[in-house]
Amino acid sequence: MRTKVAIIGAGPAGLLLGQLLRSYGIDNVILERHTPDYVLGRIRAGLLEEGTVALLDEVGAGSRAHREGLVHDGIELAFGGGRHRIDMKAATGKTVMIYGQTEVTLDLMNARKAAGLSTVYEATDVTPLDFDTDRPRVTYKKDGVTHEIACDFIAGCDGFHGVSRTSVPASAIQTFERVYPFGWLGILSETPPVSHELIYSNHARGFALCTMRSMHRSRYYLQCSLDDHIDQWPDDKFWDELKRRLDQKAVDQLVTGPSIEKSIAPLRSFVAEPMRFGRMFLTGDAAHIVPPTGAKGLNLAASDAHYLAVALREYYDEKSSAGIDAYSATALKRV
Amino acid sequence: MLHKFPDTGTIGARIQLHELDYVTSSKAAMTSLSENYVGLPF
Repeated sequence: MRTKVAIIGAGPAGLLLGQLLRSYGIDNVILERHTPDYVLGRIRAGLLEEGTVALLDEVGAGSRAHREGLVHDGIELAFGGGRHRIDMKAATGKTVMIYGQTEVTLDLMNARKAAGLSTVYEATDVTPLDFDTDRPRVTYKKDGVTHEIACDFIAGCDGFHGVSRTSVPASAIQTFERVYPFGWLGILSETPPVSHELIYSNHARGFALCTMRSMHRSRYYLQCSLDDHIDQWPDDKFWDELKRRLDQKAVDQLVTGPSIEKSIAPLRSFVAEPMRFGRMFLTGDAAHIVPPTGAKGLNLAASDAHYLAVALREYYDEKSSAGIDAYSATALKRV
Repeated sequence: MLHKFPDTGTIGARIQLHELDYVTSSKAAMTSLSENYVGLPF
C-alpha cells in the first residue's frame, strides 16, 4: 500500500489530522492498535477552546458540538471559604465549550467513515521505519499478516506511550519531565452539575474540581495521593471528601449519585524536543503531556494537527519545505 | 496555585492563597489567566 501520510493513532490528534489533510487533498491512512470501542471508551478531557471548535467546523465535524456543547463565559475559583468568578469572555472576548473528548472522537470517526477514508483498527506491531530517508515506511500486523505502507511522511499521533517517539534514537531527542507528587481521582455521575460553570477549589485538604459533560452528567475530581487506589474510594467517601473541599453554598446545591466511571490519573508535565525527525512528526500527547487543569492536552493536540496539516499542504501545493521545517518550533511555542 | 503541594508547607499554601487573591482582584492578572484558559491563538 502507498499513501502520502501514514498516521499512527486514531485518537483525536490522528483523526483531526487525517480530516484536515483530506480537505487539502492529501491522502492518508490511519493505523490504530485498539478497536473503535476501546478508543471511544476512554474518558478524557471535556473542554474545547474556540480554535479547536473552529477546526472541527473546518472538517465538517462540528455540528453536534454546536448543538450539544455548553458554552461557558467564565469559571469560579473557590478559596478561603468563598467563590470568585473570573469572566473570561469579558477579559478576552472568547468562550470555551464543554464537550467531551469522547464525543469529539466519535464525530471525527463518523466524518472519516462518511468520507470513505481508510482506518486500520487492531493493527499490532506498528513500526515506523526509514523516516531519516526520503522513503519512510510503516509496517504492521493485522490478523497475523504483516503489511507495509510506503509513504512520504509519518505522523506519530499515538500518545505518550506510543511507538513513534520511542522509535527515535535517544541521541536525537531531548525530553523534559516533571511528575507531580499527587494524582487526580475522578468520577462521572448521572447528576446535574453543582453549578452552571466550573468550580476550581483550593482547599487545605487538597484541590477539587467540579466540572460537567452536560446538564445531566457531572464530572468531579479530587486531588489524591499517588498511593491511593480506587478501591479505597467508594462513592460515599468520595462525595463526603468533595463536600469538605467546597464552600457551603456548593455543598447545599451538590446532587450526589452513583458513579458510572471512577479513575485515578497521575499528573505529569512532559515535553519532547524536537517534534520532527526527518520525515516523521510527533503530534499531541506523543510529544507533550500537560497537567489536566484546563484540558490543554486535547486542545494542544488540535493545534499541533492544524500546524502539521498546513505545513504539509505547503509542501505539496507550493513545493516548499518551509512549513515542515518550522513545524516543531511553531508547535512547541504553544506548549 | 490550586493544588496542595506536600513539600512546600504552610508558607507555600499561604503564597498560593495570595496568588489567588491577586488573580481574582487584578484586571491584568485576570486577563492573563483568561487568555491562557480560553487558549492562545493559533
